[in-house]
Amino acid sequence: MARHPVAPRSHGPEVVSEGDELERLRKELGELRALVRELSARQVVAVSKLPFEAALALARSDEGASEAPFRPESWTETREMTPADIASEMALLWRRLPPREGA
Amino acid sequence: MTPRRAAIVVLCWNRWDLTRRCLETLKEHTDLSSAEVIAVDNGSTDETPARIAELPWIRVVTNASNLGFVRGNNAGIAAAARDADVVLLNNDVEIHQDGWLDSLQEAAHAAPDVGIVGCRLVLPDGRLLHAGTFILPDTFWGQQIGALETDVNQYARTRDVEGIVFACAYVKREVLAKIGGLSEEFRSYFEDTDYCLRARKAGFRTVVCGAVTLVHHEHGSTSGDPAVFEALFLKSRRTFRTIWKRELESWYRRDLHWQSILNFPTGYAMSCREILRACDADGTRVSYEYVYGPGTPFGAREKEDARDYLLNTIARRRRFFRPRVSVVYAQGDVFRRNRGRRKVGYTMVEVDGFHRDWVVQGNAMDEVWVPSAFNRDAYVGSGLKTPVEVMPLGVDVDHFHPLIHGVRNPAGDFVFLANFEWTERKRPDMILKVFNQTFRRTDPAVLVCKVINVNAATNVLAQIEALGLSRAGGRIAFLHNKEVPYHQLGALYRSADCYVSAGRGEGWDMPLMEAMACGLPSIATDWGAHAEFAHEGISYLLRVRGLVPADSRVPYYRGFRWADPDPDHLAHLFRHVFDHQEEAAEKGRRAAAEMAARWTWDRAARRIAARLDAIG
Repeated sequence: MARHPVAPRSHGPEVVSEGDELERLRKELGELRALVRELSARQVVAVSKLPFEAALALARSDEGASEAPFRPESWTETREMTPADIASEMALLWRRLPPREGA
Repeated sequence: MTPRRAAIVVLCWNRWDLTRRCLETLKEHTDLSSAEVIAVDNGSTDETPARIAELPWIRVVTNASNLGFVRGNNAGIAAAARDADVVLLNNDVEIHQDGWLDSLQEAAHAAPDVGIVGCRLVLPDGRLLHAGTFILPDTFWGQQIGALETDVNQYARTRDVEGIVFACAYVKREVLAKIGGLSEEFRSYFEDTDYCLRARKAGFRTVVCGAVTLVHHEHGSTSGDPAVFEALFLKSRRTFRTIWKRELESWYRRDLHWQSILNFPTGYAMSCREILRACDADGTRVSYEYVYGPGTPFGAREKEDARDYLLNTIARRRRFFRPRVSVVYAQGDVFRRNRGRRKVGYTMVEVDGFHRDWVVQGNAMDEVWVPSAFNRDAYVGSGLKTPVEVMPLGVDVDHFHPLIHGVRNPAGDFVFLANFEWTERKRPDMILKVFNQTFRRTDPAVLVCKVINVNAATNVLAQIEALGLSRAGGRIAFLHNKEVPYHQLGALYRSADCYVSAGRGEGWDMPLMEAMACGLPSIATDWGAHAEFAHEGISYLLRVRGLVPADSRVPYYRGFRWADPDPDHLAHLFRHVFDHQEEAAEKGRRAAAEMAARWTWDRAARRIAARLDAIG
């Protein structure tokens, strides 16, 4: 699974402007999205049927090994408790949460 | 049933700016086809009389001078139709909720013995101001329940209270017929509690309808003059005390001395606070004494301020040299400090046996209480000969329920939540690794860990990094050493979709119970005291591979065993919940219903009371 299947396109003039071509591409995009959703659902089902170790091995085989290690976001190592307002803390936590790949 | 007509009495005395907002919002959010609005002008000298006369949908009652809150409102009650219920509404209240009157009316007519209905009141800045009132006969200072907590929609159910403030009070006609209007022994202040107590003596309950929230600009009519406020207040307090002192004191049916811990961030302290509150409300006059301190295994002195009026009052109550019954609610290593003539030790532990010293001290008690059958069996199995009672703890269903407002993940990810102190017992390594390996970064799932570590010998960040988690795996976020106020904890749970408690053993697991009361599905280790309330019907139970030696710094665990949760099964449950979100949500709903029905602190207090009464 490629990390960036499509290189980001710089902002500029529209690549496609003709009406029929635009409609065809919209339709194709819709079909591809549906296909991705279907494949994703099939992947979930397939993985859930594997023994845990096998699913784990599969997960590690294509992505895990070469990755940089996980580090918590914005971690301050402290032994002191800090008073917190939960609304502010959760809003901040959601802002700092790394987006899921492809989102 | 045809709803009974209601007369909404709005008492006004100057401050047209407030009255105008009150009436505008009242008109906007009220179905006036079955309600009449009566504005009582209490001798205003500003533009109020002229302005309200211009409003054709309002009937005006004019008092020549300011008769005060009581007589002013009584004039409005007297003007209401003889068959109508009456709603007393302060002119410094704003209404921003359609159907507010219908909800109050529904609560009032839900049972024949409901007589008076109040609502939640919030300040203009959004803080909760009122969810009911109480007055302790120790001090006779009126207290508003929930006052100044950040509003997260706590106290959302309809529940019985001692009193309400009459900034908004729905009074049923049956009550007016039986006890009349407000007592004119008062001019302002205390008349509302007095009225609720009179109604109670006449057989009517007072409830707060938590589904209704109004905005209250407190003391709109007197806040400009502190001297007037103080004089009125103190006079009314003296009157109230004279009338009700003996009655309020008679509500206590038994005494109990409680030796425990109150003002530290520990599980015993948190639950102690709720037990004291619930026992007091249930008619047990409790006195409190700190059980630890110098010369005990926990030598710290306890600060005196519990930051809670009721708890501070309980802690300052007179203590007898040899109380008739005293409960030590703490670890079993301080049972010997029990000062009662009848001694009760109340404790719990997270492993499959009790330390020898706890058994020795337990055997010096007249009886021992534990919250679960799990602990009873372990204590008896360790050699306890004293009679044991299972005395379950409870959960605060006013601060932990499904309608609490969480802060939802804006990306729509499914959120797993774990809330724990970073210790071996909680298996943080397993939870993090399994989650990270079970999901991928591409999955719309995230694990939020609220982690506490105050141990100088533990470096949590280093331990997390040593786990070798993959950046491509399931995403994990942390709230590290954040001290969330108790009343906001429900909002933390309601920010998540599933709670995870995958530790090796629990003495009760209050966070799990709180999450379940909030309506979250949960993954919980199938071993420990929480089996008392968590079962497969309302939780996903995590298999254990067996029991293993409880290797830990905690000396009381040595020689005993705890669970070895199965990481493969945890991975399966993570995935199952994620793939069956509607099934999980249904489990969460059932959990909340069961917590509210079976595991409230009220019930816990009633069990304690029943046991005290049986002791005699």
